[in-house]
Amino acid sequence: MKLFDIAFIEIEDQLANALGFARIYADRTDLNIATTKPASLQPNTLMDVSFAQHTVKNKNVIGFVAGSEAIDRKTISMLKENDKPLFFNVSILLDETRAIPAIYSFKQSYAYASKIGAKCSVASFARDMDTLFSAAQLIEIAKLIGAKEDTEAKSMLGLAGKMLGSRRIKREGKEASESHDN
Amino acid sequence: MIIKKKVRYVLVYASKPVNMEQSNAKNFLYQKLLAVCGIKCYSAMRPKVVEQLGENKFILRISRGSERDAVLALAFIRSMPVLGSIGFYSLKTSGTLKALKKKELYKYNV
Repeated sequence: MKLFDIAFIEIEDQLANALGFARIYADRTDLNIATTKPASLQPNTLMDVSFAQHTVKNKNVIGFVAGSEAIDRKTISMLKENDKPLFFNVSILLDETRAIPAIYSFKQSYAYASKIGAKCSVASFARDMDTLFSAAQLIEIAKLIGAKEDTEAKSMLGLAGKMLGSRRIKREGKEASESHDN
Repeated sequence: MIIKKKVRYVLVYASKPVNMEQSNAKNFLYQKLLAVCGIKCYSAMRPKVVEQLGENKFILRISRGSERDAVLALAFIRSMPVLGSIGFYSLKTSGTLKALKKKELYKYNV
């Protein structure tokens, strides 16, 4: 199974492969990560989960990012109804003051989401090279949050690829056609 | 009777060049692992840096069964004295040094 990650910075494919990922999707090139509510939503946007009520039905929003704050069950049910995945922002765990409440809220949210069958994933959302995670580390963090087996944790890490896979092919195709023209 | 220790070797990649052959860096890593894992888990893990491979990579030896704890603990170590912020990424785990070096040579050439 191919594993994927999402970050704010662009990571070279060679390093991404060494870390165990097929690809690390970057903000602005592969998708848009909106931490505040933007005036207009661009395609392939990951929104903060606090804006879920207003943007869950928007087609440009492909998923939601969970922070350290607890998510209520209604919101998770709403994501399930609209088939929108929830991404747990793992970089919060590196902040010592926010780590423990974040693990607690992630566990609670994941337990309910897996119970009702909502899609969940973990991603590093790294802002620099020092806050990245390897695939093995993210698998263990997924288990820490509540994934019962290796396969469950790996399927969580493969979710981003399932969502954004078509975009990657388009980008590669575009690059290939450009190089062919040259 | 010779009892062979059951160990695992973890290939670790650091985001910045780090010399783990220096005792200061090594001791700091052990201290951080102890802080993250706790005494019980650390004593079961028995970590030891066995080899430095290039500027950014080193091999950590741990006892078998503690792989999960070691990988998770390395994820939470994000600073080193002098170097400042740094990330440690566990790339691969293997039962023998020979197998790990083989994988390192051909696959993880970063």
